Amino acid sequence: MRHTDVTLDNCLKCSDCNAACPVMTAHPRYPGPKHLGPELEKLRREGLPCDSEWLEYCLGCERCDMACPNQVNVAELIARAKAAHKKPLRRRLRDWLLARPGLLGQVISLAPAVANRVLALGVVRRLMSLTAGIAAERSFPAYARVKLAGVHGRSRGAERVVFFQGCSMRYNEQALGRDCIALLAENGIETEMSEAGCCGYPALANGDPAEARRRVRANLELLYQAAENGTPIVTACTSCGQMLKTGFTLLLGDDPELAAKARVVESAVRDLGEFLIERADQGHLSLRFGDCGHLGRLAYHSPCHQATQGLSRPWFHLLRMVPGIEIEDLNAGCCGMAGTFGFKQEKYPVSLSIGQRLFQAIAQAAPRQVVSECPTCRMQITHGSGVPSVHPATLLVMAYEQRKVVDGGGGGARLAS
Amino acid sequence: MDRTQVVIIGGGATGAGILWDLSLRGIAAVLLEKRDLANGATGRCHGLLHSGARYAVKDAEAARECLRENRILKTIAPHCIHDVGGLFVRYPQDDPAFFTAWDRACADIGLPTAPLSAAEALDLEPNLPSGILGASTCPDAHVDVFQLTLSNLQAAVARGGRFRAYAEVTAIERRGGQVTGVRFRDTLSGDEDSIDCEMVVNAGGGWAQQVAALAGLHVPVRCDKGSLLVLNHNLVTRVVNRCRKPGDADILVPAGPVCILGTSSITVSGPEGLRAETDEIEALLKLGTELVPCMAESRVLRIFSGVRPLYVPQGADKAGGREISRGFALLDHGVEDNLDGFVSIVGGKLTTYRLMAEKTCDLVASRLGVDEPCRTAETPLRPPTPEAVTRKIRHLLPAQAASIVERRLGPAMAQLAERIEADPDMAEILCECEQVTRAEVAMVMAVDAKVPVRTINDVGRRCRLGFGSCQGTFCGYRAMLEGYRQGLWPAEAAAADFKRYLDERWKGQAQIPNGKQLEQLMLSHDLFGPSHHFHSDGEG
Ligand SMILES: Cc1cc2nc3c(=O)[nH]c(=O)nc-3n(C[C@H](O)[C@H](O)[C@H](O)COP(=O)(O)OP(=O)(O)OC[C@H]3O[C@@H](n4cnc5c(N)ncnc54)[C@H](O)[C@@H]3O)c2cc1C
Repeated sequence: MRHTDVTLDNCLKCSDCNAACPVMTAHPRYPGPKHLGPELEKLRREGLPCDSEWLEYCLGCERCDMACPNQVNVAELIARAKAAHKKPLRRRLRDWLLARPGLLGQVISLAPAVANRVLALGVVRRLMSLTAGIAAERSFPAYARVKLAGVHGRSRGAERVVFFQGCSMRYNEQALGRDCIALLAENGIETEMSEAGCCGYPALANGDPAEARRRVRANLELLYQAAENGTPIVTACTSCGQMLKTGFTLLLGDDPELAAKARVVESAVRDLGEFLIERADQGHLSLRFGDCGHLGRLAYHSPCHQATQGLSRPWFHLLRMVPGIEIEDLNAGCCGMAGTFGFKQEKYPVSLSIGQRLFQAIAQAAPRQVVSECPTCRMQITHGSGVPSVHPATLLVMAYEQRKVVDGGGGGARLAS
Repeated sequence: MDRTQVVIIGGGATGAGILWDLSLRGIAAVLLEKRDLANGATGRCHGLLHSGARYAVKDAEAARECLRENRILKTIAPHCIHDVGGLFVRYPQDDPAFFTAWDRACADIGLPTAPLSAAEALDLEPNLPSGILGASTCPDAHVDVFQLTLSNLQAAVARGGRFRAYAEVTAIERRGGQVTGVRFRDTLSGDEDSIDCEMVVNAGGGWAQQVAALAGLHVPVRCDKGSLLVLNHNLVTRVVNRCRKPGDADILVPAGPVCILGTSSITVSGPEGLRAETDEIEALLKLGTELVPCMAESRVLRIFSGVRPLYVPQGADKAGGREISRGFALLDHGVEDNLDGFVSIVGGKLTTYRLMAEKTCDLVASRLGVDEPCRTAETPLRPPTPEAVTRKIRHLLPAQAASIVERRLGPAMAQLAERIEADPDMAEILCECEQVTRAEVAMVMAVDAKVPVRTINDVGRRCRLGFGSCQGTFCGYRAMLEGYRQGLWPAEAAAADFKRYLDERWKGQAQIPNGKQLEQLMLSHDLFGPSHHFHSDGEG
């Protein structure tokens, strides 16, 4: 043991991490984070062979880290072991691709119309499941050609944020991007769409730390100047947020110069909800919401990476400020999607079985829409419960628009989908 | 009334080695141990399989003996040894004259060493302090003392030898000048019994003086207490010796998942009721931090003490504990005290247990008129493991658990595989720290086990259950239940034994000066303390 990681010593084997692990409940034979993290690491240092197929089943939700009463870096230990895990060639190729959503997005968005149609074909999906191990049951999000770039919502003397889009927004959810811009503009803030690419989290989750390091290294340079100038770096994706707040130090912390830069960037990062609720706390949030009673019952699902950022459901509280909104916090654990995990054919059943608790809670709440900030949580929710899902930013923008509708007396309410 | 040729008193490495040696020579023998195997110094020692390098400067003879035995044990008992190698590290604060003396002495003995630069040594052991001057390699190793003792017993039992635990010899019977048998008491049940025999061997270690007194004889043994600290990780991967005149806390032995720092040296009045004093522990830790600085923030798991039995014949100098040669003495009381059939073997080291057994059994055999030579130096303690069995276990268990159990069980893994194939739930890991399966615990608890168990602690000495960082907090309870399920003990007795087990564990951790293990201890208190009726008195 190097003296830098004596934290392994902190493990009391108490199993709090196991109790918090969503996979544990869904898969009776899954050995759990206590075993896959600190326990195996200790045995590994004894020189024993410690590779385990189960490492692949870790969602990377980091709930174990939050649960640990003794500050053991459980998730990080598992991630490191996962990176060293040996996989068969076919899965290696697939995971190589899943580790690079940016690359996938770039290629597909060359001819998105064709790609979208091809990807939607049943044969193609079955073919992908056979050759690439992608679950045929999953549908791919639609890709778009246009990209959001440049500065939006310019106005004189406005505050500015640098917006980190993430792959999902960049390639599939430009509409959400525009909603975020509108939301910020409504509050007198101009948005500079950053050129930064993938946050690196998918690479880390797919056991490819080298690729993750390349991503964060590039992003560090792109984001540093803004952070150094005191400009907030904002993202609407919770997994990107989690990565942007911790990943630079995790992957580049060995180099003292980069570590210093990493700290600057990481401390400038805000989840968009977090950013807005901070403003609300300071009385700087525009409260010009119209009545949104027409939205009907809503249910909120909090993504794992929202909680691991130490946030306490800022979007839920923001939405509750909107008059007429009826929203319930589902509080039903992890959805089971975990980014690219749920796309993998062999993990698909586990992914759905983890989500059962959430799907049941949704069925009970019977909402018109489920609200959640994480793009892959939303995919899973709609896939597993059949209920449409929406990012909270979209609803908040609608609330502002609703006020304008009332003020201006024209147009009708729009139901987000 | 039972009969045998030889009764051996004391189930440490020496007694177990004697039982094996006699069994190989075809001499019927019974080994009586008042607690369980390795209850004495054997189970409380550092577990360093000396290469002799530690003694090279001071006692070339002892060093040569160690080197020879080191080589023999590595060939006959590789499954008991982690052949990690050792380093003699040169610290700037130590006497450079000793460095050269050490080099010369090792060369004289023919002890293979190789010099390393400071950078090379730090590369091998990054936790050494950066200021070291250099190091030398040597063939030190770690020996699993429980496994070694158990293996000797199992091999002996397979050859007709008999081992009885919880049998305290209370009297040595004599008729005139001849030993005729022993009386003993079962220390768990209180039952008394006796065995007739032609010879009695006193392998009582630190108790040798008390054992000899049972025959009315005086064997002068001085008890030299040494205390050891078990650290939660292997901070080093090779044995680290401080290259200087032997002193306190100058050896750190990596022992599987943990490492052990030692030792102190304090003369005490007897082998029972040992306890490490607070200032003794502090001094050890302070010196340990000189050895490996990160020890300061490392978790100490356990502290324990043992006594080195030092033979002090009349007239020997009365200087400090280390001044007496570490050699051993074989006393033929027929010659020395006119009591035929009584032999005492005292002193020595764990490393030389086989040699001590050989010399003892040569004498016993000649007194019994048996003309069989010693064969322990070339007979493996355990037959090789068939490849098919290893493959099967690797298929049934996760990689690390298979690898651990391969060392521990060898060919007996065939039975392990049978149990797991009959009931897949048997693959469940009961002791997480040491990766012990339910199947292995069941094997250890089986009525037909070669070396049976009677308590939860006994289970640990067979398969290391409860030896890891949680110190039995989780697996002790599971082992109790498994024993109940197997019919090893009824409910009442199971709960009582579990309470004793916890008490002992709690005592072992209570002295630890470092917060992390205390948190573990508190967790155990929380789980099993007064509210759960497992423990209603004392510090709980
Ligand atoms: C702190 C310490 C560290 C050491 N480190 C090392 C090391 O690293 N390497 C090394 O080679 N050596 C080491 N030694 C020395 C080594 O431990 C001993 O020399 C060796 O274990 C002695 O074994 P034994 O079988 O002779 O005695 P013991 O192991 O003491 O066995 C004697 C047994 O006799 C039993 N007994 C006593 N009275 C009775 C009775 N009336 N009836 C029945 N049974 C009885 C006891 O219960 C005990 O189990 C160390 C010793 C100590 C104390």
